[in-house]
Amino acid sequence: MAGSRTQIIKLYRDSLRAARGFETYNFRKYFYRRTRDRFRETLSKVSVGQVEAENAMAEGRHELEVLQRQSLVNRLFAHNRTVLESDPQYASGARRPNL
Amino acid sequence: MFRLASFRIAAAIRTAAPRPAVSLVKQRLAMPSMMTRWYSAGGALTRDTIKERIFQVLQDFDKVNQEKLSDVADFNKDLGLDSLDTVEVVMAIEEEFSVEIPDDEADKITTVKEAIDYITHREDAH
Repeated sequence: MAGSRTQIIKLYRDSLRAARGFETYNFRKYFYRRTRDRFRETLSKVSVGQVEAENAMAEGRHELEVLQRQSLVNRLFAHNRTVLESDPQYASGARRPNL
Repeated sequence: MFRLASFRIAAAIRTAAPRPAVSLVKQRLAMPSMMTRWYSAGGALTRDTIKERIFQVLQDFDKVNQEKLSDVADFNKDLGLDSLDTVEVVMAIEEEFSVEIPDDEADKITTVKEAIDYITHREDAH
């Protein structure tokens, strides 16, 4: 159980990093939120049963791969900054994660 | 014969020697000390600035129990953050100081003090 917990934390950190890698403001915020919400669900599933936990982990790993691929593709193209990003207060990605 | 060869080799070494480096050192010596600063020199971050900015990050994080926010607070016990929140806070601190904290170091940061200490020791934080 302890092992799976550290695995989840690792997967969570990697997923958030991948989400943070998106250049487009909207994508970045969306995937950050989505990752957070998904992992809350996953954690509640871990206490339900081993099989559900395994499935959730497999799904999480799959999604991490998708995120990493897509954020890389996203970075290959030029982007127009949103109005929000021109405000230095909101310029960095996760500074205000709850916005 | 030997003398000629050694002269040639010496001449070759002299031309191949990294001249810019030598002249840079001379320049550095000629300049007043205030104007020279190594790129590797530590940043201008003081412990108070770091503390202030980490507090700002924590104040922006709405799950943090603001009343108990102090420089010795434990993320879990005092601020009421679970393990996933802690990961998020550490990532937010990373972003604030433009550093990347490796996983094993990030796992060790569980209190505000540890976060401040870690950033203090990171030369590349700014």
